[in-house]
Amino acid sequence: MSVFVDQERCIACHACEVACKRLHGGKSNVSLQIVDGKAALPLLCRQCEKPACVAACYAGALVKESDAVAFHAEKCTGCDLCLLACPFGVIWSEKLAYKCDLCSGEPVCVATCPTGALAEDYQAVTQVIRSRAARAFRRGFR
Amino acid sequence: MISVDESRCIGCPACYKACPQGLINLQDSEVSRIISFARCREDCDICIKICPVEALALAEILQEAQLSFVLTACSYCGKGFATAPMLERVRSILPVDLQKNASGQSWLDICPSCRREQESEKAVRQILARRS
Repeated sequence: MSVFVDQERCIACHACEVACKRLHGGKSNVSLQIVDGKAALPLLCRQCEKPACVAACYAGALVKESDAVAFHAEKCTGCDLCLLACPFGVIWSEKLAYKCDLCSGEPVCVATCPTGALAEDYQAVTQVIRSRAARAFRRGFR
Repeated sequence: MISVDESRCIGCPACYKACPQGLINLQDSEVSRIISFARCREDCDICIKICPVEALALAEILQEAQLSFVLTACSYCGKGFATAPMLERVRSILPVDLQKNASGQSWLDICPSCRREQESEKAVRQILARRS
């Protein structure tokens, strides 16, 4: 399971960040990137199939569990190696590392997003993107 | 009472964050990191256990140590973000095919915040192309 992003729906309202902060003691596991004031993209852990962070974690705090990358804070030593290993820069650290934990199965960012830019259902997201592409194609896009 | 093996230490902040007495200090400047170990009389081995490279050991003699590391500059923004041995460790652990991004560029030398920036810039270029 992962949170998928439909880039074109994001309106940069920061609701995902705020909701995530509320649930995670003031630390957001989502980072909303706004580029040149033109478009925005929420970035969060992608639950990689071959997670580099898991490879770098010597303490066993990060582990690939079924279809997600689980983080066990009680094993984290705060060495910051996972931060350096994440290709997308979506692990942060204070005393310990923190990253998207999928809110134990019901991501609050998905529930909060007012435009449906975030979704857990891959099929739902890709269906919207495909039908959007089909409409554009019909209009003569590209 | 701990001793540090300077040749092993990679300059990560694990022991600094773990020390319950705050006897290990870590200071980052723009370009360097200094880790200082104060004389420790505690009967505790937390830092020794959590060290990723087993650079710390119990010692008979009380000793102070100070290690300094040059912070590797981000190839994108130029700010120092990690010690070279830390990056080297990650480089040696990760499979080579994972160390390059889609455009063949090595992302390990880019700081996490610039990695996010690059990722979003790439996505936004696609969005803007479709908008026009």
